[in-house]
Amino acid sequence: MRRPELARAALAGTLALASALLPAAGSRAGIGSLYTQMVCREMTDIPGEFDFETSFLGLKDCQKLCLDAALVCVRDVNDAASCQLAFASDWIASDSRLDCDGLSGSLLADCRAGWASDKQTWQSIIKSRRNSGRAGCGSLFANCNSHCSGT
Amino acid sequence: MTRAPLRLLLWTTLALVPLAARAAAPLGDGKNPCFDITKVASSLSLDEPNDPNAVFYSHLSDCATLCKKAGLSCQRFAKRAAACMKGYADDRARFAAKVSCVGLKGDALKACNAPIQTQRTAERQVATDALATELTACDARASDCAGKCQNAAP
Repeated sequence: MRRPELARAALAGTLALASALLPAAGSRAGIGSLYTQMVCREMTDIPGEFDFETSFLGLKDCQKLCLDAALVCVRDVNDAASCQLAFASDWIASDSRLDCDGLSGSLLADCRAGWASDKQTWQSIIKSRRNSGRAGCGSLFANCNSHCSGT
Repeated sequence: MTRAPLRLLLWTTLALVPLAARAAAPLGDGKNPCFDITKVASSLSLDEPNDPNAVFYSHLSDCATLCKKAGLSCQRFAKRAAACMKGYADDRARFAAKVSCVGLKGDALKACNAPIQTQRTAERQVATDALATELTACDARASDCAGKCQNAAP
């Protein structure tokens, strides 16, 4: 099998340590990588970029503003996930093209199927981390809301 | 109320708005939910590490097409980063206005909004300029890649 297991393992772990593992995946596999690092933000880091838990204290629309800010946070998490899904697609399209080059018949089919499987795994991890990011935004909203009501 | 106290109120509001906006903005200074646009093109990895005259695609028959695709991918991510920057500028301005200009009307509201909108415009311009630079850099990387294809014209 031409597509090294290390590449598969690295891909599966990419979302855990995205920027650190991407170059490693390519070099260990002995094939190219389209990018040396992830060119998208990490979803679980997005809530940390928001600081609105006490921003609306004393304002009439405090709770509404908390919700509004939390929705912006969620939108940014979704955007980061969309970016990562596109990144995964481009990255795998490039490396699978290199890795499966010269193969034909069942070998080519196996090679492509392996990369398609990697892509699915990668997409699942992205979606899972998107949910974690959204949950982080939800926590910010809850804290903000409780400050509004003084609880 | 006579004109003099009104003018004083207006100037006081103008003076305090930037401070209030900075202090209360939910998307504060030093925070940024966007990928650093200046790192997109430089993150493109096309060069063969052991051969400065080759790219990963050099030996492939569709090398030039793949180089072009890589450049387009780079440009798409640069555009995403720029769109994020502009959205961030809009969000910062929107919340700054909601927090700092609450309850104001007429000229006072306009005066309160003016520096916020000025900052928003400036931040959006930074994104526009950065995007132009990065699109050019992506294009240059793709052209360099295509020039290293084995079947490239000498």
